[in-house]
Parts: sequence; structure tokens; C-alpha cells
Amino acid sequence: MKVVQRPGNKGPFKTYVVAVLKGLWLTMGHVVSNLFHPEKLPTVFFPEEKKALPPATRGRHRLMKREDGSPRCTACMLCATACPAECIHILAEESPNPDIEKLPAKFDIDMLRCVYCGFCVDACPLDAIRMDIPEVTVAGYTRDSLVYHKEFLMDHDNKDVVPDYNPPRPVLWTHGPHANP
Amino acid sequence: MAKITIDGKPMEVADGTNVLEACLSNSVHLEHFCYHPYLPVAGNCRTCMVEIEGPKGPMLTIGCNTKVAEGMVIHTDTPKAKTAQKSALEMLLLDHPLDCPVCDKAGECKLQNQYMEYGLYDFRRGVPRYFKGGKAEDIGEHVMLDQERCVLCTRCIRFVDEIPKSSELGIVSRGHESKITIFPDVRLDNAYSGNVTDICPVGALTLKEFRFKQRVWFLKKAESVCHGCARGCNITVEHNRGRIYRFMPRENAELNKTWICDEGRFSFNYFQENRLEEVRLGHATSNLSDGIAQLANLLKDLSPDDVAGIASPTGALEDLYVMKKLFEKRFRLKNLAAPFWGKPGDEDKILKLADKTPNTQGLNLLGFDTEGKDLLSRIEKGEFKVVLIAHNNPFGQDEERAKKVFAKVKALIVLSVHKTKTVEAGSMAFPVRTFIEKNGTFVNATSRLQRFRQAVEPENPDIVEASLWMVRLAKALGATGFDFEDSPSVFNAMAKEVGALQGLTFNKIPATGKVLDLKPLAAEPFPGVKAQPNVSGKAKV
Repeated sequence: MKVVQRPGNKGPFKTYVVAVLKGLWLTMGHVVSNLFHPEKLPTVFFPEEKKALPPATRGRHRLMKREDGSPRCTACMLCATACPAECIHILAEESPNPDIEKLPAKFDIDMLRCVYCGFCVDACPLDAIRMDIPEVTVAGYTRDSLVYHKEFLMDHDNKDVVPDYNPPRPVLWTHGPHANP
Repeated sequence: MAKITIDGKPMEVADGTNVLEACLSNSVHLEHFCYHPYLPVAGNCRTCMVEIEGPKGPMLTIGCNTKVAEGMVIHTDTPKAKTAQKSALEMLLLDHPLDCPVCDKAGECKLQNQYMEYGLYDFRRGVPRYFKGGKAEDIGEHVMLDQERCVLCTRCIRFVDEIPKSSELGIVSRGHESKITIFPDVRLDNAYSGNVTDICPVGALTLKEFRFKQRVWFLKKAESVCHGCARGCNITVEHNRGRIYRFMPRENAELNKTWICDEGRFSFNYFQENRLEEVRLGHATSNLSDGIAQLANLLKDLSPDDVAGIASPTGALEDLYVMKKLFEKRFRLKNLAAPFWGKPGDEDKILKLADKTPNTQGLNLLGFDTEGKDLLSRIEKGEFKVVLIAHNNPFGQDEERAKKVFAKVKALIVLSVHKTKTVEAGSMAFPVRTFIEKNGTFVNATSRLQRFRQAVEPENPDIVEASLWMVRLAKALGATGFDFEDSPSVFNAMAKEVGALQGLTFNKIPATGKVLDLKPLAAEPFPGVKAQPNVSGKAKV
């Protein structure tokens, strides 16, 4: 068996004096630079200050709207079927529009159960649910406040939240006499 | 028996069988769509095309409307037959709206299943799609019609012509414009209208009661027996997250075939509404162990002659057996009877019976007194201090008479599923489970012993089966011989004692029931309906 000697454990290195001084020099250097150049600080003062999230961030859900403001969702429950966390609860109702079969009377997402997998977005045949609101800090004081209802999920301007990403896909399939052949 | 050859393999099938059933019963897959084993053959979907060898060589023909003959040679997988089958399906799907995501039938739709099994072709329509119109038409009390989804298989028309014989439905117009509709000034309101939605292979006919309520793939299923009348039609209880969404008929060739009446089908809400949820001791609510302890204290000081029992034909066989045993061991058996206070309901010549309780024959099997006049007169005279009423609802059925009969009783102990008037009148009330929440057996009017399985578990653990409640009471009273854990163990013990059940165990009861050697209380169902000689049990219903 060959014994390997540790390097640099002799003389002044044995007491680590040099290493300690090196570390202090680095720290003091940052202290001085931060004092005189605060704009170079990498720290973000969250939550007062927020970093711009990259495009394609998977954020909070929203429900897309039709032109008349009604939900694009037809309560087909494919998102609820795909959801591995069983966090989507939908109650369907008859739609007043004869070209649309049904609408969600209730569309609740239990954010305490959601695992942000995005399967609901993939499952949706109508691009009615998206996860592109760049909000990753979902917090609340009560459990009930973290069950997001239809009204809250639809409270947005229907524009693409992250520009140049995820452009609105046309609704390919619509029912009724005006549908594409 | 006829000797035939299917795909080169020699086989033997019964005379009069059609080619489709002959294939299916010999594990040869053959697509079929409009064919229903319990309805007359129409042969209009053309998906069961086979090639049959004749004097001019192999000829294409449909399997469902061709009877087998001696020496017949059938090919189901030749290129010609395969192409014919596939193009028939393509024709059916041509003008179909494909709104599967919003269609209630999706998940149990035959068109969906068959496309995945036999179709898988590329869409070839070159001209604009023709839209028939007629989405969501209200055609009856329970049924909605969507003419666009309809593929004109005429199963619903054949059903209303054949079973309720009310003939409300027909086809109007011709060619690709033809559609199913109700006749003018007629609505689909017969007592069996719900069945058309079961046999509709697509989402053209849907139930209002189930419409948009739940996607079918979420539903869990439990084999059960309808509780609505003494016929005991076989059903499947379909539930999700502790809630019942529908009762579906379950195939039983010897009893209800694949039909049930609307009264039974829509009775599921009755078992979820107005439930007794808590143990009531006087005006206070309590829990089960305290309630049983208090009741045992009350009964301990009484002589066995002071207690009478009123059972009910709505209880399962297990409940009745344990109650009988309790009275045999701890009280007096002569003080137990099962008078039913309700009035007979309406009956028809198809399935419905006037006796609206599921287990009258079960009472006969266990030797209960179903009149109970003697016991009631003795209760009225004040011979009993305590009366135990299980499942029965005398105050709800005939309040004046019940008030008179139970006037002198000191304590009325009520086991009930619902918050009935009897619960209000009783001095103690205990909640018990419905047939949806427990395992058990009923004996129907034609003496068929049938098993039902538990579908859901009640949230409140104080809601127990009536049989297990009796077991707990018997143990609290110090009686021995009540070592039952659950209903199946009660049944197995009962089968050893009751002669007609000899050799049976709970799990050995066939899914379609077992006819016991008892005098039937009613005639067999479907008199005069043509028997289907070729039911193999393999065709999709």
C-alpha cells in the first residue's frame, strides 16, 4: 500500500492562516464593491422586486375566453381526467348557445393539490386552459382561498401573457353549420 | 346441431343460431353494431359482413340475419370481408359530428370502440359534411335526442316496438337526411323509456338525469339488485367519490334480460336524500356505542316477553336472519313478525310488480309471519314495553293506524335508512345502511336468490348494517352465537341452517342468481315476447 502525502500541509499552510486571509480578502472585496456599486448586486429584493421569468415559464393556470367573454371550456373533463393530482373539479351545465353543447358551471382548481405537471394544458382539445401566468408563488391565508374558481381563472385580458411565446392557437374544431368541412 | 366451418375451423353450433352469434360463441371476433341479442334483427348497419360460400363462390352477406345451415362455410377474415366491414364503419362515421369530448356516451360508445378496434382509417370525405341539425331535442320525460350523432341503427325503434309496445319512435326522410324522431304529438314517456339510452350505441339518446353529470370513465361499478319492487332486476350501481350517479341494467337472460323500468332506474336519488345520519336517543343525538349500551341497559331489566320485533321485506336476508336469531335466543320468536304497511303500487305485464319491496320471498324463506295481525293486536293491547322496528316505516305508510297500534308501547326502537315519520315517533333511532352500502342477498318474487355487492362506504362510521347492529346488540345483551364479522359470514352461517340454501356460500351465488325451491309469488317476466334462441352472451348489448 502506498501512502499519499497530502499536499500543502507544511509551514504557514498548516495553520490555514493564508486560506483565512484569502477568504477575508474576497469577502471584504465584495463588501466594498457592493457599498459603492449596489446596481451590481445579484440579490433580488423579493417580493417587492420580481425577476422577469423566462419565456415558456409554466406558471399559474388561466381559463381562456371566447370573443363574447364566455369560457372557451366546454366542460369535457379531459383535463380532470389527465390530472394526476385530481385537483380539477368541474360541474357542467347546459349552454345557452345552441352551437355549444355544454359549459362549466363550476371550474375549480385546488392549488394545494396541483403539482404543476401541465397535463391539463396538453389534454385540452380547445386550448381553454393554459398555465402561462408568470406567477410561481401561490400563497394564501386559508385553504379555501387556494381553491381557484372559474371567475378568478378567467380574470385576465385573454392576451398572451408571455409575449412571443405560445401564440394563440385557432380553435380547429367547432360544432354547427358554420364549421369548416 | 349444425356442422359449420368458420375461417377453416370446423365447428358445431345449435340449429337456428345466426352466423354472428355462431362466430362470437366460438371466439371468432366479428364486428357488430345494430345487432342486439334481445331485439329483433334489423341488419341495417352492415358491419358484420362475412363471406359465405355458395354455388357461385363466396358471397358477401351480413352475419346477424343469416341462420347457420349444415355444412356452411363462413369466412370472416378474407380481404373482401375485411374491406366490407371496414367500409360499413366508414359509412356510419361519415356524417357523425365527432363531438366525443362533449358527448355523454364517450367512453362507452360503440362507434368509438369499433373505430379503435376495426376502423383506424384516414378520413376520406371530399365534399362538405352534411349537418342534420337537431342537437339536444327534448323528446321525453327522461330522454334527450341528438339527431346528428344518430347512426340509424334503429335499436331504439325496435325496443319501443317490442318491449313496452308503445312505438313512439320512427324514422322520417330518406337517404342521408333520414333521422329518428318521435311521432307528432307523442312523447317518449313510456315506463321503460330509459332503456333506449342504454341500447343507443352512440350518444344520440341520453338520459336527462345523467346528462353532463359525470364522464363514464370516472364511474366505479358494483353488481347489485334493484330495490324497487319484488322483481329484483339485476343492476349495476355506478358511483364516484361516494356518490351514486346512475343505476344501469345488468344482463340476466333469465330475468330482466337487459332492461329495467324507469322507476327502478331513477330510484338512486332516493337512497342519497333525506338520510338519517345520527343516532337519536330521545331528542338528543349520540354515537353508536353509547346508543347500544343505553338500549342494552333498558332491555336487560325487561323480561323476554316484553319485547316485540317488526321486521320488513325491505331488509336483506342477512338482516332478517340475525333479527330472527336475536329473537330466538334472547327474546321470544313468536313476538317477531314482518307486516308491511305500504299499499301495493302499480304493476304491468313486463317487469314491474305491485309488491314494491325487494325481499317478501325472503321473509317466506325464513318463515316470518308476513301478516302479523296477531302480533299487532297484542302490541295494541299493551302486552309489550319495547318494540324494535327494523327498516319498516309504519308511521309513514299509515300514520293513524300506527299511532293506534303503538300507543301503549313505552319505547319504540327504530332502525331506519331515512328520516321517516317512524324515526320522529320513536324513542330511539339508529341509522342503518341501504343496499348500496352493504353486501347482502334478496330473494325475488320468482324465488331467485340474488346477491348485491357494496358500492360505497358511508362517511359516518355509526351507520352500520342492520345485521351487524343486531350482532352488537346481542353481544351487549350477553347472547352467544353471534360471531359475525360481515354480511357474507352471516349468509354462510344462514346457508348451513336454512334448507333451501344448502351448499351455498355468499361468493358461490351465481351472478345471475339461483332459483330456490319456493312457491313463486309472481309470474315470469316478458310474457308473449319472442324468446331469442341465439343468445350466446357474447354479443355486445
